[in-house]
Amino acid sequence: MASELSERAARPTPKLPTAVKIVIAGGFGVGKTTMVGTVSETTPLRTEEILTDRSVGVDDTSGVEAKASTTVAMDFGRITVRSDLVLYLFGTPGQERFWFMWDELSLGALGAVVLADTRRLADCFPSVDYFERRGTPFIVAVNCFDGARQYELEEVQLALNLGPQVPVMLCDARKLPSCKEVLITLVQHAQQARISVPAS
Amino acid sequence: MRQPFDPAEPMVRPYVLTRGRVQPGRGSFDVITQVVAVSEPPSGDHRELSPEHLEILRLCQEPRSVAELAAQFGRVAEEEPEPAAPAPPSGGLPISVVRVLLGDLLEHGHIEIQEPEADNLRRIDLYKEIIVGLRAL
Ligand SMILES: Nc1nc2c(ncn2[C@@H]2O[C@H](COP(=O)(O)OP(=O)(O)OP(=O)(O)O)[C@@H](O)[C@H]2O)c(=O)[nH]1
Ligand SMILES: [Mg+2]
Repeated sequence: MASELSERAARPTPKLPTAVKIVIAGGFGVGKTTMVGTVSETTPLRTEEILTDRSVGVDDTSGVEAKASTTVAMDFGRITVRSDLVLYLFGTPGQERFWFMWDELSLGALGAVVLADTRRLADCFPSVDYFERRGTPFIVAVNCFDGARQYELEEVQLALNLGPQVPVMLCDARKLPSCKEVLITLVQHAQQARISVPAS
Repeated sequence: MRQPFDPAEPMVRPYVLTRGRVQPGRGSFDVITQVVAVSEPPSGDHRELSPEHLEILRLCQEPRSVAELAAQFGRVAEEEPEPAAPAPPSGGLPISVVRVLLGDLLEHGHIEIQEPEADNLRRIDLYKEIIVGLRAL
C-alpha cells in the first residue's frame, strides 16, 4: 500500500518521454543556430563541452598549451511533439576539429541536415563526408543568402557527389515554413533509409 | 597517444566539482537522455550531495535532457524578474561535468533516467508522430 512507502518515495515520478535528436551541421556561419532557433519552442540553449585529457588524443592539431582547457560550445533547441515525445535539434560546433563532439551528437541521431551556402559550397564537404561515413541519414539544405542562387540543385548534387537518393532542397533558415519543410523531408528520408518498406 | 587522466596534473577547474572524475560511475548519459528527480531536493543531512547535486535535482523536478540540465545549471529561473545589471555571461556547466554528477545521483537513487534506445529509430510510428508534430508547428 502507498501508506507504507516513505514520504519521499510517495510522489509518483512522471513517465519519461522518448527523446529523439537531429543534428544541424554545415560550415561556419551557414545558419545552423538560426535554424535551431526558428523551429525551437524556446530561444536556443547553449552548452559547453570540455576537451579533456581523455579526448586530447583525438585532436591532433591542439598544442600542449591547449591541453585540457579547450571548450567547445553548441546550440540546441527543443520541440515537444507530444507529452511523451520530444525532439532535440543540435547545431554542431563550427570547427570540424571537434570531431569528438560530432560523434557524441551523431550517435543515435535520427538524421542530419547539412546546411550549404552556394558561395562557399566546399565548406559543407566535411559534414557530408562525415555523415556518409557514419551512415547517418542526411539531407542537404541550400541556404539562400541574399538570393545568391548561383547553382541549380542538380549542380549542387553533382558538386557534392551525392547519391541520387539524398534529398537536396532550398531553404531559408530564418523562416519557419521553410525549416519545417526541411525537417519533414529529413524525417521522411530517414524513415525510408532505416525502415525498408515492404513490397506492395 | 591517449594519456590516462592523471589526478596529480592541474585540473580543468569545473572538474573540481567532480573531484577530478571525468566519467560517471553509472550510466552513459547521452545528451538527450531524460532525467527526472524521484523527489524534491532532500533537505537535512545528505553528505553525498554537494550544492551542485542539489541544483541539478532542483532543475529536473520535471523531466529534462542532460543537455538542458547542463545549459540551465546556475541560471536564474525564468519567473524571477530580470536583474537590473546585465545578466552574468553564461552560467551552465560543461556536459561532461553534469554527467559525472548525474552518475552520483543515479547511484544514490535520487533520479530516474531513460537513455535513448536505438530500436526507437526502427519504429515507423515514431517517424509518423514526429512528422505530424512538425506539421503542427
Ligand atoms: N539571407 C539569409 N541569411 C541567413 C540565413 N540563415 C542565417 N542567416 C544569417 O547568417 C548569419 C549567421 O547565421 P548563424 O545561424 O549564426 O550561423 P551558424 O551556422 O550558427 O554560425 P556558427 O555557429 O558561427 O558557425 C546570421 O546573421 C543569420 O541571420 C538564410 O537562410 N538567409
Ligand atoms: Mg552557431
